[in-house]
Amino acid sequence: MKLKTLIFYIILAICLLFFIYPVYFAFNLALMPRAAIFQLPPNYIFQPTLDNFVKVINSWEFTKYLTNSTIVSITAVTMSLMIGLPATYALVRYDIPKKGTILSMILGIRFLPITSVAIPFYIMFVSLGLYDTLFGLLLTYILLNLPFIVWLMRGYIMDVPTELEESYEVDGLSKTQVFLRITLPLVYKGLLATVLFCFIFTWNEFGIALLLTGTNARTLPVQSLQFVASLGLDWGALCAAAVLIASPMIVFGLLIRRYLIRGLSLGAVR
Amino acid sequence: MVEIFLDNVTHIYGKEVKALDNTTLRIENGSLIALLGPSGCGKTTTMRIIAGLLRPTSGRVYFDNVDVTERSSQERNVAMVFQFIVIYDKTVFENIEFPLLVRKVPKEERIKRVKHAAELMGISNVLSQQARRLDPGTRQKVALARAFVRQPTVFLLDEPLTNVDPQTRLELRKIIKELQKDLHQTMIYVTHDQAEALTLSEKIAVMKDGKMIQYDTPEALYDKPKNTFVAWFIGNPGMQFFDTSLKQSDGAFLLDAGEFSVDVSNVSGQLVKYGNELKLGIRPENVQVSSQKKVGWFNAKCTMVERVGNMYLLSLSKGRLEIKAKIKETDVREGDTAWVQFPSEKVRVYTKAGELII
Amino acid sequence: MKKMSFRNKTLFIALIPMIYLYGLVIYPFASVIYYSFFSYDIGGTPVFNGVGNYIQLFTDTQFYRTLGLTLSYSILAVGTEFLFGIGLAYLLMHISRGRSVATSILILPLVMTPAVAGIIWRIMFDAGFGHVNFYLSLIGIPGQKWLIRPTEAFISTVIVDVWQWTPFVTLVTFAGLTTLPVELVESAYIDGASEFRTFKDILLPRIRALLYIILFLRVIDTLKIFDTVYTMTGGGPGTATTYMSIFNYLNLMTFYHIGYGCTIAAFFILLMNVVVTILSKKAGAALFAT
Repeated sequence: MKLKTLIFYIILAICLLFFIYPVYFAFNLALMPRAAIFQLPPNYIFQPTLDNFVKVINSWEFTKYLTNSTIVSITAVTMSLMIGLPATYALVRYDIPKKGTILSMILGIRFLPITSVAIPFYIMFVSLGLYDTLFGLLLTYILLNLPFIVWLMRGYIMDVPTELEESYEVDGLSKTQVFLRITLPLVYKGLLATVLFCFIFTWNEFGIALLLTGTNARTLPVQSLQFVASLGLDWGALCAAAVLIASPMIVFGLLIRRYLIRGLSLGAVR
Repeated sequence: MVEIFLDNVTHIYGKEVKALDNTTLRIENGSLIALLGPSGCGKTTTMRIIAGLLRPTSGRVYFDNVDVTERSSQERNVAMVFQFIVIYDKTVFENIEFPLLVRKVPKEERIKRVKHAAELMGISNVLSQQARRLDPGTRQKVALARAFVRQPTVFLLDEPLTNVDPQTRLELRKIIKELQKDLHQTMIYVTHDQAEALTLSEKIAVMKDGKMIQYDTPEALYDKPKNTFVAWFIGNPGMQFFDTSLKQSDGAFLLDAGEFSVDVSNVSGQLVKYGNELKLGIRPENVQVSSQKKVGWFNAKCTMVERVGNMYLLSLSKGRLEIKAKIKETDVREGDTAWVQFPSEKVRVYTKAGELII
Repeated sequence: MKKMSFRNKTLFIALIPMIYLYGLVIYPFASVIYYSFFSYDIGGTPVFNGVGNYIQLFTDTQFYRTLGLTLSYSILAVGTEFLFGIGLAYLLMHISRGRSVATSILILPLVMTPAVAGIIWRIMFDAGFGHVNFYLSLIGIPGQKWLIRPTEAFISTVIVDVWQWTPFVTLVTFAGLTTLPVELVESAYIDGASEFRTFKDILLPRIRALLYIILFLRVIDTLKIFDTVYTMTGGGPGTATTYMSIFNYLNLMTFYHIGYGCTIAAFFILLMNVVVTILSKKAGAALFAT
């Protein structure tokens, strides 16, 4: 191997260490017994224990917030899809007046500062009694997922040739049927990726949840903040919480690796 | 401006794909030769090995008797123009300037050479424009100018005109031919378009399955193709073949195709040692057809008359055999009986395996 | 009776949800702007205040401090991410074997819950027992009071942003580069350009549009950063890391000034709009083209 390539590998390895360390660190501390945590140099070898995890799961109604996060994420993504998919399809296939403006508006949602926009939601929800409810949270999340769905699926739908759809229409299928039975199955891979992507986004969402929930409808990321307050120096437990909250996302992320980039750049890279 | 010599070059992709099989090729200084052949025959691989983009699995490459096999493209100073038109995101001027910039040629000389190259290509008027916005034909001209500006040892062109509109294609063919003549530049042209190869080049290397079958002038390839593949490949349509057996009858030697025979007594001596089963080949252009009965000719039924360009392509059937003839004028109509003759000097005889005998 | 043409009907149904969208987007906008003119604290009643809030905003030194901090944060973070990210993409392009391992590792920061990342880094930056100081000491740099002193806290937030988003720059750039035709590189090679030169002068310009999009997205996101900073420093120490979003949040939720909060929000939204408009000319065009 050329020297240059070797150097590249070394530099790359060092950088990768930088990126992976915090993740490794969290897992590490989560499994450490209390006594070993504050030691420096760090213990790389130790007797792993699940105590921290147990403590977290048992404390502060962890299960409740876990359920909240799961329900909200799944439902929000599903509903957002039901709204967003037909809309995207329409936006791709039809010549709608002011199409560009509509697309920009949808895109614009992603650019809004959440804390600012959440205020009126807060006021509205309080007066409607939706504050601290899963339903209220759902409404907002459905909205927030739309840009991703539109901009991701747009590309995939554009890849389906119109001639194919048209020939089915000529054969007698209605436009809705064509959409449901022909187009969608053809984009199922992109659809799957979009679903997972939106799920990750919704699960990880913090700002809106912080503003619009109290103790009832709270989601896990917000709860993690609470853990900081309550667990304070119990780093082991804190890391266990971190691991529990972030792990599903890591798993999903690795699954949709290839599609993740497309998602994050809103479809800019095919 | 060099002579290129490929010595027993073999190249294998991965573990198995033999792209080039023991090919030896000598290209004279200052000549324009074409690499012709069906897809997968190894012509692009040959090109890339000469360019220095690929190092052959075995064999050596020589430029003017210097072994350059280990050298990079830069060191060999080759220039290459691709089928996919390669343009950098810069102005036309900067595109052409790039190789000179890399070699740190002083500014004044750079400007001079770029302008000269642009003039030759006829693109002086677009020098300040963003190259990527121009049409394909002009872009390829830019690519050619960029290749040319370096005064390279050899010009490699890999199907450069495929993605160019027909009008510019003719223009470019002319420019390429002129460049080559005026500058005595060694050029290698890869194409699957026969017509292009035949009109442009001094010599053509016909390749198939990684082997160089025949390397000759266009005329020689047309007249004396070394084997049935070359004979069939060159020409539109190519040479047609009939399985025959060598027979003796009344003291004369005949090649009997079943439905008809051709007298080959005058060359029988050469033929005999190749056994009994031989192939008879003749180009449709050389088949003589007449509506009048002539002595020594045999008859056949005309099944189809097609017009191809300004010629007629006749399909004649005799028994189970079909003969194609391409002639300028004829009064034979579909359904007529016509009389056919193969002039002996145009007949080529091949072994059963396909090698040329006469 | 004439049936409504099928085309119109399905279209209609498909777009009805858009009404939901408009409602849910327009209402907040209108609301924020409306309340920004009121003096309104939680539990109290809105009292019309004209431009009083705005005057308060523009004479609030903290506001200017926040603005400055946010801009500095954005410039510093995005700049670093770009250099670091594109550099990594360059490295990735030139190695053959470890690519999938590298990309797998690189997506970890991207999918990690930002709030959780903030917590993990909070622990790591701890002055006494945090690993950051430990590793620094290994290479001879003395430990810093990361979350305790203002400048260090600022830098630590930038580091976290760089950690989380550099992979984004790298992976998108890399993805874009791999779609380029190989003849481009070959031609540059034959022309004699070095690897680095080819990268800089030939390849990067080719993906200019993509790079604009990345820049655009990162600038927007850094300007409205909230999650990681809030969990890591809460805006502190003092107000050393109080960026716009946090400033807005604090006024609203901690001080319960809804009216004022809305004023800030209105300004912030306007700011974002301006930034988006300015930057989107190049980036947006590229996005729409895909």
